[in-house]
Amino acid sequence: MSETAVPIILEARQLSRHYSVARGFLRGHATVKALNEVSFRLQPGKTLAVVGESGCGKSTLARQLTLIEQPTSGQLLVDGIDTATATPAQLKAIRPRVQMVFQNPYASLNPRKQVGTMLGEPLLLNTSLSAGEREAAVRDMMQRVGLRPEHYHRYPHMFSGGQRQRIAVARAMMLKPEIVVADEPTSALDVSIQAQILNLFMDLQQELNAAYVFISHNLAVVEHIADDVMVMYFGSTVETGPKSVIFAQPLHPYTRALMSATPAIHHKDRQAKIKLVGELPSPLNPPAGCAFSTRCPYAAERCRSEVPQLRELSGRQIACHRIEEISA
Amino acid sequence: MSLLEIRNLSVEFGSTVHPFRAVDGLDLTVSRGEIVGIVGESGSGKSVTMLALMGLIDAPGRVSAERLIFDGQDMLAMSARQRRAILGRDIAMIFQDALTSLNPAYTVGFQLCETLRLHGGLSRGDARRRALELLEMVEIPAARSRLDAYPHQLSGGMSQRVMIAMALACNPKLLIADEPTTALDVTVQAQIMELLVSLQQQHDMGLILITHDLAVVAEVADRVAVMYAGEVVETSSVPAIFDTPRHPYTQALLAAIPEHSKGAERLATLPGVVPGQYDRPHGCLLAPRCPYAKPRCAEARPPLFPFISEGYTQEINDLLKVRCYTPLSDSGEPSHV
Repeated sequence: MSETAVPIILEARQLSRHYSVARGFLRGHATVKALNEVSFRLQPGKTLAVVGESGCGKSTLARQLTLIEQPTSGQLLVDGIDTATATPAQLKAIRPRVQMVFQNPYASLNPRKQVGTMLGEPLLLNTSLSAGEREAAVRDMMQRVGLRPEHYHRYPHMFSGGQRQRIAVARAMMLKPEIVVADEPTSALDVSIQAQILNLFMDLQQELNAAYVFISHNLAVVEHIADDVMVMYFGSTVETGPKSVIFAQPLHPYTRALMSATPAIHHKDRQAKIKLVGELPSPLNPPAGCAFSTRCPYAAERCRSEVPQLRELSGRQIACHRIEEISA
Repeated sequence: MSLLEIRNLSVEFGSTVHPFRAVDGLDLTVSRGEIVGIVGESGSGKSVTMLALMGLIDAPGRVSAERLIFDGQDMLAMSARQRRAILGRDIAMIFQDALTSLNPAYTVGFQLCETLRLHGGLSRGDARRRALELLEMVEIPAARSRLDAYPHQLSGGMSQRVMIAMALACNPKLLIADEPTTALDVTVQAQIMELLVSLQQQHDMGLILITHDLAVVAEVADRVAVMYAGEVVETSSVPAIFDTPRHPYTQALLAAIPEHSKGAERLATLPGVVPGQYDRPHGCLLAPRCPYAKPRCAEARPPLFPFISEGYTQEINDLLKVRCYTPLSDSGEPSHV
């Protein structure tokens, strides 16, 4: 990607996170590489969609971006400030600017707090607004996300899944964050509710000019909401680029398999299914070369021994040894 | 003759004075070798319908039906013992969450053999041999070693394969799959659906596929019933229902899928939510949310009307029924009957 004058609000450079797991008595610890050297840049008001199946490191990435965990190596820059070397005061100033929306609205809301209290809490902790001003701000946000004024004193159990997700979105937006990380925010919802929540996300982005990192396994949703797409497999980026490029012509065998596996309503949209055999390899015993080589229909000798690096190819970055041969 | 015939099935919960009808007047037929999709959002009564058929609705829930015929036998007149002999053998079911449907305290092999010995009367050794065959049939790698594996040692896709093997153990005539792939990743979903359909064809089973994912149904089903708040609002054949939906709810559901609004800024939405127990409208259940609602829609609940389209063949028209006073025309606008 070329250097431009456009501001970058969030940048990850070779971000990695490894976990150490116990294997039992008298055996050493094993290292699980949940996230391997992931890099991206995000501009204000843009959406990066992270796509991949369970176990691909999407949620680990979300935990690094929201500063819940420290990356093992690599850099994370929020508005140009490196979070690894930032002073505690700088970090404290950064945290309110990065907010998160979780997957399951049945688990992410405190059942003992009223909606008004819950939405007012970020303001109470991070601003010096008076109680009256906080309530006014909360009521304003409730109206924006489509909650009615009488919901102010209600508890989470009194709401449906879609309304709960609206509350979760409102809570994330209370501090007008510049970065919102949404981890599968619609996968627990029905399609008609999903459409409402996606519209809400897009409206709020226009209003607040927030940058989104939108994690999803649903390619139809990603195609709708994203500006850039990053496809992950087994902790690494396999293909990344602008949405229009990736969806018009997916190149990586995994991206193509993912797209062909997504069911389509109309016959004309259906692609011949690329049948993947097997499932994700065990993270305790990763394959030597390309992580996808165990399931890839094109895997050759080199794929099984050498890890492919990301490189530039027809408008995107891709990690595959044989891509020229395959796509030719 | 159809394999399964359900006529006017209702399931009620709550008091007899103000009952809550989770399923209201449902008709459904399934033939051998046919895949019927039941789609609808959560709370629309899809799963309750199948639980009622399996006899799994406990008191205080009440099940009533005009006819409930399976393979020529009247299930309503059956004793619990007779019903038990059919369930699991001739009618089998696959549940949504495979990991919680398997018993964590027993090995996969034990759970498979249990079904075989109970319904098939096989000896211990025969049952184990047949269990191995079944695991190989559902394409589980290293099937022999998996027989002694516990459910927690299997991945989600693998446990769903075990569930399918278990359901097919006694060569059922009817298989009910309740959201079989919802908990799985798309590439694994594609594997499992392909497996289900190929087994369904090999064994000439009837398959009822319950799902909220319209695209899955569009790819495999022969017929579809769309449910809303306990009622079937449209039954039709594939792909007619997806090309030209006749009920406003079907149209709205399809429009809400991002696939349908490619390039659009906003997704089309249906305002509001499915009416709950206490706020079901008197008239058409969709009327408060329907963009085409007329005063008449709020007055009386519409029955399922047959629908004749000149563009369709006789067969498609025969299957098509819509619960709407003004079903949608080919252009997607409400007609005036």
